[in-house]
Amino acid sequence: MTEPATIVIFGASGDLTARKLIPALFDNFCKGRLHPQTRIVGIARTAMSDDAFREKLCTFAKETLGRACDDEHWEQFAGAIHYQAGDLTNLDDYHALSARVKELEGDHGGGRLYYLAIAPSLYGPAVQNLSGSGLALETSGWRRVIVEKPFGRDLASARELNAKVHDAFDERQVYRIDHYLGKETVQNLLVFRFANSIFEPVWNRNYVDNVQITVGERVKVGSRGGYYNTAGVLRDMFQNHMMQVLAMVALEPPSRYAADALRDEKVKVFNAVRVPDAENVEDFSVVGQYAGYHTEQDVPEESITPTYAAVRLDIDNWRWQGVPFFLRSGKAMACKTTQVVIQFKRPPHLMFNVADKHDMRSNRLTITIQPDEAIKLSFQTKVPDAGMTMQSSELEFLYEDSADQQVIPDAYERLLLDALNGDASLFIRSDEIELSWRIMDPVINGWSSRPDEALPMYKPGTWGPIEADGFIRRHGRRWINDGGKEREAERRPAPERRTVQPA
Amino acid sequence: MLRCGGMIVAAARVGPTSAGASTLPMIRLAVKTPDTSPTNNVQYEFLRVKFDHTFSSIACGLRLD
Repeated sequence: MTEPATIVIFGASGDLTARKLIPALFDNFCKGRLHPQTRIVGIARTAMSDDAFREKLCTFAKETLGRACDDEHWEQFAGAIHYQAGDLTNLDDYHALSARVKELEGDHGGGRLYYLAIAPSLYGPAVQNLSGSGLALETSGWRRVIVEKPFGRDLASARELNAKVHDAFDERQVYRIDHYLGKETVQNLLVFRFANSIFEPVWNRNYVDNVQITVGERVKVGSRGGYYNTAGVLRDMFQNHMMQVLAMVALEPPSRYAADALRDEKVKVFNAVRVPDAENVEDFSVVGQYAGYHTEQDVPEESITPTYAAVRLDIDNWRWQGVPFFLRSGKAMACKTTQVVIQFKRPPHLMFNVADKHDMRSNRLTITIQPDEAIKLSFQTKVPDAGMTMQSSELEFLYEDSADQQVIPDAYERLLLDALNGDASLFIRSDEIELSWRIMDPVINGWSSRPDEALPMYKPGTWGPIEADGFIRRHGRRWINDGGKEREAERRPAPERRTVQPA
Repeated sequence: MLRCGGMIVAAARVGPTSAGASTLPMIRLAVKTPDTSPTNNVQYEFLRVKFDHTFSSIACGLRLD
């Protein structure tokens, strides 16, 4: 159980609060993990009473949690929810917040967790005002701040934001959140690698041919066009989620499960990643945009923002030298999936008479992070009654078939609990953020510096532009798509190309 | 089952019919128990062969033999 604490949510009227944070806290409450002296204070500009705020949250919680949100538990939980109207750029409103929180805490005191569920442009003013009003001082208990992504939009802005945050808080008080790290299946990468003894000996350049990390989304940008068009897929997915998954796949075994031991190993990976050269961006990456993107709400007609990207990264260390890591992500893809594929090398010598040895599938480990969480290992077996013919078979473990049928909790549930307990293992340290921007900046800058070049287009519902196939083929590999099927170069009509001059 | 230093590599005798009885590999695997913050418990599960594809073909082959 957590210690007595007050959770102050900045941006309390937003979707993140209603759809993720409150349901996650409610789940923790129902599981008896929150101390009875846990208070939640929401702050936003809109004037609202405590009861009106609770009513609004109740509606969303019932939508999100369904039958799990029973009235009796909700009534108990909602009693601890309060609301304070305030302007996050106004220091006086922070003094008012401080007085309200002290009043609620009474003589109990306790820790305080500040959650910045606000627009990134407000991160700086918020931490400065938290400091200026004394809310960051640890005079009567611990003070921690959770900062949502995006943390900066390039290396320079990330450094600037880190400096502002460090003016107000020590690094040990800062919890930069990437909800991917709260996913059970991402955490299971550590268990899979380091609680089993048979995989780690082959988890290196001697046995692994390439690694593919895919985050595919079926959805288009929807109502997020305004934000998305300024970010693009490289800022939205690669710099944060995909780099974190890459680190979990590639890191050396930490000496213990502790925040800094784990984060030190991730930093070593990021330090070893060869920084791409912006001048030759097309050699190690490809971008694309789905057809119809420019007609989305708040997206300008002339937009050349990539909605798809594939990037090859190399890790220059003893374990991974020569093993390409292919990262790809896109909107409007063929299916929603997040998966890591470890493609092992072919046997050094094949004694069997296979018609086309190049078609024989080597061992492959597929870890599906979401949805349909699973681990699959493919291997060759003899086809019965067919001479010495081989076929690919799969060993698989599906979370849904797990004996205990545990429900996989939402990532925020775990992360909020960890922050309340002071465990920063699954949060990102300042140096991780800056190093991952250092790797992604040249890719982003490389493509944005050549806006007059053709931007490959792809049809929604496919695996990205046809150029992505050519890209990986140039590196001697093939994409492995959902279900472990390799993507053959599809026979599709010649893709439309858009060439747009910058405005 | 053979116990190998904590990891169990299992050869399970399975089959819906006597003619189809055969051996299929399984690997006992440590995975994180979901929803176990902050203790990060580990539980054991199996990587199993998909029965619907592989088993039927093996059973069929053995009958023909």
